Amino acid sequence: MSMKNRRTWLQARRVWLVILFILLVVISLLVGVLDLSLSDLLKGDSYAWNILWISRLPRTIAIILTASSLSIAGLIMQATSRNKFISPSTAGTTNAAILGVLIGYLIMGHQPVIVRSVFAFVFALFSTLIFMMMLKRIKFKNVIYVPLIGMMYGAMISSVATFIAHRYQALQFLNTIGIGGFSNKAIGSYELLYLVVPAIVLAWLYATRFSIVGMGDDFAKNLGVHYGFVISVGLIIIAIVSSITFVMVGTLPFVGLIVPNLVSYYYGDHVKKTVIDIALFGSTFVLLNDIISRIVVFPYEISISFTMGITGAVIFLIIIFRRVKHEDA
Amino acid sequence: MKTRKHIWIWMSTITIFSILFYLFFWMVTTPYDLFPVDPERAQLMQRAIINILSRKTIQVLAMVISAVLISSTALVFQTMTQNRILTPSLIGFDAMFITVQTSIVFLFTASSILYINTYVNFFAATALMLCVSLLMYRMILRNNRNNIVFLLLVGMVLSTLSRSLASFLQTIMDPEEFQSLTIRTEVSISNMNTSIIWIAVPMMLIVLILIVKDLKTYDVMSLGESNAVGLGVSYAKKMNLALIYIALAMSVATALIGPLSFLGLIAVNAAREMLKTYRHLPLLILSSLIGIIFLVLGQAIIIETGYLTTVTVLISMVGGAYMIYLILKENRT
Repeated sequence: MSMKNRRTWLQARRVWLVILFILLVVISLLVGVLDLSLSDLLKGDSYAWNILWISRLPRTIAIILTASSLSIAGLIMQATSRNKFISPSTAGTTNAAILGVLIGYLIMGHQPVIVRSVFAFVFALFSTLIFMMMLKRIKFKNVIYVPLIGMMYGAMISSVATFIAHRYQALQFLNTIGIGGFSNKAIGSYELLYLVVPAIVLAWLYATRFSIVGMGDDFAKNLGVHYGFVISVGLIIIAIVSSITFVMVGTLPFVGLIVPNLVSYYYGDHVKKTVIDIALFGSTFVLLNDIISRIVVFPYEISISFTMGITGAVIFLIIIFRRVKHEDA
Repeated sequence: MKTRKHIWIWMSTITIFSILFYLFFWMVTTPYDLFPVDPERAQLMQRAIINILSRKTIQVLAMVISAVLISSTALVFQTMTQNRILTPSLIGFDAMFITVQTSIVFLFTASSILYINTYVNFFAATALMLCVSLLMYRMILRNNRNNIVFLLLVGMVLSTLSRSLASFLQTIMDPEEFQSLTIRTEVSISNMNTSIIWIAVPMMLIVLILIVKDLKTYDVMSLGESNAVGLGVSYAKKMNLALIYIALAMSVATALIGPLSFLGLIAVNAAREMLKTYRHLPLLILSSLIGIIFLVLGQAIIIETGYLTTVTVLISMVGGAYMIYLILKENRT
């Protein structure tokens, strides 16, 4: 394929992605227990518009914000560490957020969501920092070791959380942390998620610098990029995104891992160019999963973590099988 | 040579002590008079003591079986992967076990013989797990030149997949069936499934004999694939066999006392550190002893301290920290 052909091909793909995204947004707005039809909305039926404003729109916005920010956080982690198998869920970040919320609860009792998020943020930040430092110190023969070690690290943090919870009779509380989903998102219960918007903007502004930092300390210095500063910005973005989405929505397995991988498979590793594609792609993927979770046992719904655990795992398996075949060839 | 002898004497003493401690220490702390003068009460007490002791003996037996299986398979697995920080638990046998039990209940209901009869259930679950593992091994190892690390990654992803699938099935299944399912799936060290102990013992012996028979080959295999092949080992075949033994052992251990991811890691690495040898036989014996000590003594102490925490948590904490220490020590750039 010539360069020009490839470019038009990618453009066409992008257009299709946007169309698919819009289609899914519309479906996501219309699916629900209460009947809501396009014709009612067009007729200006106030009841229908109320449903849309109070319940459907917040949910869809929550999905888009969560999915795109989580995908971008994964992208930053992968770009700065130059490892395709790393993401908030495979680096102990989520487990640290759980520990943070637990400790916050033990110190101050039940608190508003914002305080919980702060605790989750601080713990997520430190844990990610430690993990990244550990990775920098080790040389791996095989990139696959990184998620393995990340998950062991996460398991260790979880066991500390269980230990503390067991000690202070908070096991029941521990089990409720991170169970969320999008089903309870309505006006008044999702607004905190807007806090990830600045993080997304910041990620977009720093995109080029993240890929430079990925080339290593010396290389970054040669290009006039302050290594430590950019890494800190990246870590703060990751911590903000993972703590807020975690406290608000719970865990969405695989989003941060597979979306950047799929996008870079099609569009290359240019971070700045792919940030928007990743946000779009991530949102499409999660919207699709959310719609599936809502209609499988309609009028009830299953937790989106289960759906994502299944679809995400299948896609991830396909990615790694391809990659290994590619390396062998 | 002399220090080695010390290690053996010490470790066997501690092992025996742990078992005795688990069996008899409650007699010291119990507030009841165990040997009353009144003959009628004495008889009653005697029966109670025998009752408690026999229950504790079975528990110790279950822990010993699991510790031996977990430690020895971790050793073999580390030889196969040529890596000291991996254990077969990472493949996700516990998730597989839960999924298998859930699917049995979901497909055949909780009142089917496949679920009610402990023995039939055990064999069905083990056979299913073995099939899945074999399929996984075949798909991955055959096509990817024995890339065992790849197998691990696939295993971890599959365990997320199967856990999600199991949760999904559990959400939509009949509540009563779900209740009876938790009896099988919520196995842990303080909630052992001792009803299968009399199949677990012969299974353990079979797996152990099979592994011990091949230990000399594993010595050669630890030299690396090309060296081992050069020395006349049919590497791929032995590795496939070893992986089957591991799957078998893990399904027994998981069904008996639930998942204990870090136990094998600690036991094998501590044994390596103490013996400083690459020979598998002494490593196997010592790591099994360490595994037993960790489990039995740990559980005994936790019972005596009034369940401050659980052994599983303790092992994950110690094991996780130890693993990170090992990685940092071994892979310094």
